[in-house]
Amino acid sequence: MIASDALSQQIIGVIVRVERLPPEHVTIDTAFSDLGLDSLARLNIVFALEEEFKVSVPNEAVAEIQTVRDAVRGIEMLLADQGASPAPL
Amino acid sequence: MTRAVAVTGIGVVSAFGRAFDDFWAGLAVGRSAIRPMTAVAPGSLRFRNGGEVPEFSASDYFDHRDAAQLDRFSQLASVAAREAVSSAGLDLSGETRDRTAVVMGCCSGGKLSEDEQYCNFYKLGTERVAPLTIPRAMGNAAASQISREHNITGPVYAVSTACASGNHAIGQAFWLVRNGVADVALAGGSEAPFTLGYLKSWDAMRIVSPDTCRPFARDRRGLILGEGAAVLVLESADRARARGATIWGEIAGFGMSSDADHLTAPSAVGAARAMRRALADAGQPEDAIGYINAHGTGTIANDRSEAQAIREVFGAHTSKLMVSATKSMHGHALGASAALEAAATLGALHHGIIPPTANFTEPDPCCDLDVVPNAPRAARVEWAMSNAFAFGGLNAVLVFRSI
Repeated sequence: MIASDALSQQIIGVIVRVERLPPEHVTIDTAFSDLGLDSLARLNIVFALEEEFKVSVPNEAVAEIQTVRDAVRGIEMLLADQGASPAPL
Repeated sequence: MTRAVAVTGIGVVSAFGRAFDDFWAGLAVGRSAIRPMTAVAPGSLRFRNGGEVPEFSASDYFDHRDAAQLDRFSQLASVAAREAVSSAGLDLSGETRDRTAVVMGCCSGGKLSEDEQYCNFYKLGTERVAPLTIPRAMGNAAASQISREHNITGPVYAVSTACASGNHAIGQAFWLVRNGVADVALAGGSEAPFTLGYLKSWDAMRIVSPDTCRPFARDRRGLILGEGAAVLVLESADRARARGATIWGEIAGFGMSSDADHLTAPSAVGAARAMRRALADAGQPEDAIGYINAHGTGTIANDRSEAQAIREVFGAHTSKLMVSATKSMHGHALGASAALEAAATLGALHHGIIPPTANFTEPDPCCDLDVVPNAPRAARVEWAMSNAFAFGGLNAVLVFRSI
């Protein structure tokens, strides 16, 4: 499945906002470790994504979200499972 | 030579019941007391099970005035302290009350009282909050109640180091008695975390298991929260012998350290440092230890890091160590946990039975220890250790000796 650009941009927007990062530092290929983000920061990002997209990320999936792409894929799958479409930008 | 410190009384309120005998009877056969939670409707939580104290009613132990003044965490502590004092046959009248200390551990204070009152105020729109909310919720409320009930007028205080609180409390009380600041000390910890707002916050950490607690097992999925209280009576071994008290064992060493690192991720270096300091305080070499009651929470991170720390400290002797995690049976009672585990360790030394790690499935190669899986083991051990490693990177380790 290829993530839509709109969804990717929305997720990057959440990450940039939550972690107060310069937007140019975050792309679809960025790994959270490259940004110096630890497990607690990842937890906060997942929380913000859950709030943004009104989804629930299972515990086991959290540890697997290591990159922005992982987050986009995960959110995309959860939204597909719900039969919902991404929130409008 | 500093003076030896004996444990002459134990009181426990736990998921197994309201007495030390209930607690030990469960641990000694490897029976887990983890079961579906009843205090809250877990609808919005990702977990369903906990280690609640069963059928605890304040009116069984307190008149209506005292019950109204005490959060459940103080009530549990008070009941455990009564059992500890009575089982020690301790006379706290006369000069003794001035020479007695109380040091109690607690992670989060009176969360039930706060959650209830704030919910009423924010959500139900009540105009007033109950006037005793502050004294019920204060972290030292349990220590104060024990002091007031038994007229203890020596040093009395609470320590709060999250999941290591119980060991920090007992360790400091041990030093107070060993150094002659107090002749007698009541020490332990208590916690009552089963209220929805607080449980929801634990859920958000994503480290609570959706089923049960399987420390050191390959398929472990996290911790299970518990509640309860444990209180030990400590006194100088000379004093205990002079009055003919039953001695459960001695506390022989206490070591503390701080990781000065990550807020929540454990550090094997910090844990190892605390274990080494406890051994040094006890004046014992590594290979004296026969049993370790592990911190063993059942989280991926703790168990791996703790196993690494044990191997680092004990080297080749690790293969001869029995290491069990009794949280698999009583749950992780936070500020009470290390105190419950001190009671479990003393039971093990006194009865010659090592309580197992329950719910164990298959070994994790990252936790290469003899975890005494599922079945208790008959073994006479002279020296034992009990670990506690807290959020915030604060570590506390006790060393016990059998008598």
